[in-house]
Parts: sequence; structure tokens; C-alpha cells
Amino acid sequence: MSVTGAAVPAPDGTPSTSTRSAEARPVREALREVATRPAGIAGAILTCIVLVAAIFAPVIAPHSPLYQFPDGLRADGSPVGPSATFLLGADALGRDEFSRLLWGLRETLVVSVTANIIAAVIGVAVGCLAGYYGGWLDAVLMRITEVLIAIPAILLAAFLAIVIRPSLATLILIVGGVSWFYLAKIVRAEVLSIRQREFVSAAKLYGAGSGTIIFIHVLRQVWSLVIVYTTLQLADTATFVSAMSFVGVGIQPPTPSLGDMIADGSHYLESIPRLAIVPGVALGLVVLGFNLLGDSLHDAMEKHA
Amino acid sequence: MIRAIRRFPVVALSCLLAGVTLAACTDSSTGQQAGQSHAGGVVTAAISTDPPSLDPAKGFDSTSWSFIHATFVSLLTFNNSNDVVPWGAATMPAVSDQGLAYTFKIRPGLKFTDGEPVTAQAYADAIERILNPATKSQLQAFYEIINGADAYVNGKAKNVSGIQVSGTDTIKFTLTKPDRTFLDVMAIPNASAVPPNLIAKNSAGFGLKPVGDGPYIVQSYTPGRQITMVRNPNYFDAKSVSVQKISITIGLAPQTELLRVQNGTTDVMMDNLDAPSYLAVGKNPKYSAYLHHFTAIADNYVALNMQKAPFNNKLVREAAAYAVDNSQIVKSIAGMGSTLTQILAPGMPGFDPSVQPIKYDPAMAKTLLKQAGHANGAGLPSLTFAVANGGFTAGENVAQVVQQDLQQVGFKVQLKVMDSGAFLSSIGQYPLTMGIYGIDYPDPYDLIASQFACAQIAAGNNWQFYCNHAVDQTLNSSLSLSLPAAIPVYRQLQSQILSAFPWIPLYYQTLYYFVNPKLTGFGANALYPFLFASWRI
Repeated sequence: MSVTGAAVPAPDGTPSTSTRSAEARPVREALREVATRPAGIAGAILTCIVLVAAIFAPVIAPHSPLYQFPDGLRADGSPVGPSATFLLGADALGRDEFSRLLWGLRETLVVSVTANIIAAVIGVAVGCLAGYYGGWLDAVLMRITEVLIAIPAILLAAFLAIVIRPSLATLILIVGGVSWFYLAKIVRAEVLSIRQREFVSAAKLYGAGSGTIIFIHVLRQVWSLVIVYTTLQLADTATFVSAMSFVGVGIQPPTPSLGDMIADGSHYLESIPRLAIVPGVALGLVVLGFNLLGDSLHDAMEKHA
Repeated sequence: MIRAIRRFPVVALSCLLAGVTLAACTDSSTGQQAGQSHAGGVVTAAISTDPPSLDPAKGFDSTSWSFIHATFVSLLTFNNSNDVVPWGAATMPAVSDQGLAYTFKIRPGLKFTDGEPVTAQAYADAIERILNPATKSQLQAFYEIINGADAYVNGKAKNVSGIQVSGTDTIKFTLTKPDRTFLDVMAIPNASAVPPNLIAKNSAGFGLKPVGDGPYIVQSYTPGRQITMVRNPNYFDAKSVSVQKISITIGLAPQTELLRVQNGTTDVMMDNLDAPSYLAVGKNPKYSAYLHHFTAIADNYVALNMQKAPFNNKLVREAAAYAVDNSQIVKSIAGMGSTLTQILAPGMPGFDPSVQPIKYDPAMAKTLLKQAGHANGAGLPSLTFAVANGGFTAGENVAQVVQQDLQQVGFKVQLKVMDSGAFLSSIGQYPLTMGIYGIDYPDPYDLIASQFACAQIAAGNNWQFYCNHAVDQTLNSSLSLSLPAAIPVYRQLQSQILSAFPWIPLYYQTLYYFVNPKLTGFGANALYPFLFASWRI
């Protein structure tokens, strides 16, 4: 034990077991706190339902989301309503709306979660580098970030989607590429504080390199913040992905996506409103679940930090 | 000579463009019952986007033509039976020199709204302006049949020698060879006189402030916001024009237009009903009096690129044609159409009602693919199917139906939905392209030559890349025949062309318009969806 009372790290900078336990304790307590909050429970349940539906869509969906049933449209071209065959009715091309909803949820979540992870990696990297090294690197990175923040994300994403051949992979990269800006600034602010702390100084004294300090000490301090932010951000990303599909630059037809289903359904608001309402409610539940969970996690982390 | 030029399909028929701001909607006909019209009155209308151009030298789609037809007077025009009749000309032209020379006498008393008289020279200048490469008119090829046009276009002559003006009221056109369709191209709105002094000052900007001599004057035009037209009191037949003012709002979504007409705040929805809107109001007895419809003289199809594998193989093309269920496609557009059977659409002279559609037969399609060496689709590359978006929602939905049908017999198809600019630039790049070609004038030569003549490949209209020089020769020689004599020739030609399976036939679309019944004389037809001068309120 050092004179400051902090655990002495190993010569390579690795924190002691007692330090790691102390850092993990607030997270565990925060999670327990979330489990006692009604909003947290509701958010967790909604999120679980959405994730289960999305993950098991290939099993749960009664039909292919792409198959156009000849009897899915009536003689006048209107889609058939809810029935034993089509639980939520058929869509404008005679496809099963329920199956498309499940697969659309899956596509939207795949893109949202993956894009969010990419955004988190980029945001944390930029924020850590800017906050830890400071100086000209900090100035350059933050100015670039601020310029990108000034550009409306949907326009930037739409421009990139038009320029780059659309595919699921490029869509994920584009959404991830426009979603890291605020996280970078938040992480940078946190890292500016962390680099002044004694354990960082101690690690430096013991000869730990910058990379080791960032990966072992700095990241350990910010990961809980990143988790909270990323959870909250999932809701925004899901909406953003849907918005891109809504304006026609996201997931391409006939692959279902919530945004595309809402866009198509919006044309039928007067004649067949369920075509817009059902995917709209589904998107709302996704956003609500992530928001409730994220908010509860955020409040609990603040309390136990 | 092949002259017809393809208009971009959606623009050609679906009122995709054009917009008008909503001017103050003054009382249009309070208390008026449908059918009891009176002179005067204001009509309000709405459209989603601007007409591409109000300039007679440039507008080349049905919406632009409707506006140009309302504000300018061409030498000839089409009546409601699609017959060519005199308009700016006092009578039909005198034809001489074995069909090579057409002499027109200009109707006396025609004046532009700026007071300038309409003379024969104004018509001559208008045609030369279209031929002038600097104008970049899409209509140029239509008038290259005039003697001396080639030299003028190539910069070897200052004027077109085949256009001769005599006095103020006589104009003579001399052609390079007899061409029955010359009267048709003089009847389209683009063959209208324009004020020479205004054109000399600002040719490029003329479309924003058009000055004509037609039934209406464009009082104001704010692109993306509003167009207001008022009755032209100096139009030579002004007493036949009833509505005093037409205020058009530009930029509303079609669903909003529909709602406005339903609640009475707008009289005319200028975008034709799409499938969702038609399902909402088409079968509702409350709105039966609001609906006007006509069958567009246009072919909707999937162009098979005959120069690219696998569609350079006739068996594969034939398989694709048999694979698609047209009845399902018509269902997907809410029944607003009928199966396409031939190139000459219903309403086009020469349409043969006895021609049967290609029967949906996926088993036959698979057999043909097997004969082509692609049993169950083996060896077939992944095919990109280019589709335009931008409001033509039927295109994207129909494309998905076609995609599924093709995939079920073994084709592998990926949709590529693009905005209109990217779509037009991509013509020829992909093996499958969603296509539509609408009538330019009511002569069978138009629909056949525009889409299947060899020269139309370079012109960007022949999306199938079909080329048969014997067919071209027959097409060229058909122009010297009278229409009744030419029809059997065109029927035989279309049979010959279609036996090569250059496309997957889809449908002929029925266009529905939603109009407050207090407005009568709506008069939509295949050439002009909006006959403004015939409206009564």
C-alpha cells in the first residue's frame, strides 16, 4: 500500500486486484439499483422482448418476410387484413406484415447495435487520444469533431449513402461514422480529469507506457460512462436508421426495415392505417425500452459513482 | 429519319414534377352545383413538383405540355379525338411537291400578351430555336426532317433553308422526304410561336417568365411555390375560355393534395392518384363524382438489355417474359391498369385488341432456362434491376413483384432504387431496367421507332438495345404511307419486334385524377392531362 492509501500497481502498470474490485463495485451497485426502479424494470423488459423478437425472428416469423402471397391481395389490389394466415394482415404487396415486422426489427437492431459499437469505438478512441495527450492533437481532433457536429447528421449520412453503393455493411459504417461525435467530447472531458489522478502518475513512475495507461487505467474509468451513453444512444440510432430508410437511403427493398415499413405505410394512412401504425408502434417500443433502461442506468451510476 | 425522343418515363405521365403555391383561395363557386358553370371564377389546384419547363422549346412531358398548350398557340393542335386540326394556322396547310412542302397561313389577329403580333417569322424562329444546339432542346430531332436542318444544326448554315417565310402570314416548310408525321410534330405544343424580341433578350430564362398568345397568361411563377394563370382577354378565341384565374400550389405531397380536395380547400389534385390514394377514395361512392380517368397511351415494361449477358440470349429473355405474373402486377397497382399486350397501347391507332398477352407460365420459363443451359438458374449471374424512385411508387412496388417472379424460376435479382438523375445516367449499365414510354403524338410510328429503332440506342431511348436494320428500313419507308396504309405495317413490325422478347411486358396504366365535381370540363386526355382552357366552374 502506498502512502496515499491507493493500491500499488504492478511494475507493468496493471492495477491490483483490490483496485479492480473497488472500480467494479459502483457498477454492480448501479445495476442492482436499476433492478429496483420501475422505469428500469420496464425498460429492461421492453428491451429484452425486442431483442428476443429480433434475435429469434427466423424462428418466430411464420413466413418469409419477402414472399408475396398471391392471395395476400384482394381482387382490387388491397391487402388482406389480419387472419389466421396473416396475424397482422398483409402489406401492399401481399407479404406477411408480422413476419416483416420481426425481420424489420432485426435489421434495424443489427444496424443500430453494430453502428453504435462502431461509434463507441471511434468516440472513445478520439476522446481518449484528445484528452490524454492534449496539446495540438486535442485541438485538431476536437475542431474536427465540432465541424462534424455542425453538419446535420441525416444530411451527412444521406450524402454518404448516395455516394457510396448502399449495402448493409456500408449503412452500418455510415451510421456509426456519424454517431461518435458527442461521445468523443464526453470521453475527452472525462479523460482530462482522469489523467491528473494519482494512479496514472504512479503508473507513469513505474514506467508504464501511454498505451498501457490508456488501455488499463483510463478506459477502466470511462467504460461505465460509455455503456450508459451507448445504451441511451441506441434509441437515437434506431430512430436514425429508420429515418434513413424512411427517406430512401437506408436498408434497400425488399429487405424489411422499420423505417421503410413506416414510409410505405404512411401512404396508406387513409385506407389501411395499420400499415403505418404497427411498425410505428414497434419503433416506439424499441426507443422507449432503450431510453428507460439507459436513463435508469445513468441515474443509478450517478448515485453510486 | 428517326426523330422521336423518349421522355423520362415518370415525368412523361405521372405529373411527377411541377408545383404551384397556394395563392389566396378566393371564392371559386360558392353555392354552385356541379354542372352549372359560369364564365369567370377561380380554380385552385395543387401539384407536388414544378413542371419541368414552361418554355415551348424545352418542355417535353405531359405536365409541361399542358401548361405550354394553355399559354401558347401552335400552328396545329390535336382535338379530343386526337385528330390534327388548325389552331394558329387559319386552315390545314397546303401540301405540295408530293408531300415534301407544307404551306401554312397564319390566322389573322394573333398577338402575344406583350402586344407584339404573332407572325410567320415568329413561328420560323421558334422552330429554329428548337433546332439550335445552344438551346439544348430535347425536341431537336423532331424537326430535323426539315430541309437544311442538318446544316443548321452543324453550324454550316445561319438559317434553316427549308423554312421559308413570305410576308407576315405565310410560312412554308420543305422536308427532306415525305413524312406523314410532320403534321403531328407541328401539332405538339412545342411548335408554338414565341416573341422574338424577348427570346433575343433572354432565351435561357424564358421558361420562368413565358409570354405567349394562348388562352392563359402566366401571371406569376415562383418555382417550388406557386403558379398563377389568368385568362388572356386577347386570345383570339377568348370567349371559349371560362375560368378567370387558376392558382396552383406547388410542393404539396400527393396525400396532402388529396386531403385538400376532399375537404374542399383545393379544387384539383394535379398528381394522378397512386395505389394507396386510389384505395382510399376509388371505391368510395361519396367520391365517385370526383374521379376522372383515362388510359395512358404508354407502355410500362421491364427493358431487357439485349447487349448484356444473360439477355443477349433470346431463350433467357423469353424465360423472363413467361416468368412474370402480370395479373399480380396489376393488383399491386390497385387494379389501375391492364396487362400490356403489344407496343401500340390502347388509344393509339393500330392497337390490335386481338393480340393476347404472354401467358404467365413459370414452368415454361424454367424449361426455357434449361434449354439455354441455365437449369434452375445455374450459371446465371446476379442481375441488377434499376428502378427510379422519386414519387413513382408504382415502380418500386412493381419491381419487387417482378423480382420475386424472376427469382422463383431461377434468376438472381437485386433491386437498385435510384433517384431520377442517377437512374437516367445509368441507362445501359444494368441488365434489367424499369421502363415506361408515353406517347408523343398519336401515330404508331412514335411508340415503335422511339423504343426500338437502332438510332435510338445512341439517343438514349432504346433501353432494350434492340437493333434490327431491316426493321429500321421498314420504319423509315412507312413514313411515306398514309396512316390507314401504314397500320398493317406497324402491326407486323411490332409482332416481329416482340417475337425477339426485348422486354418483360407489364401494363397499360389508367390514370385517375381527383377533382371537385363543381369543376366541369376537366378534359384530361392522353396527350394533355390538364386542358385548362376547357375547365368550367
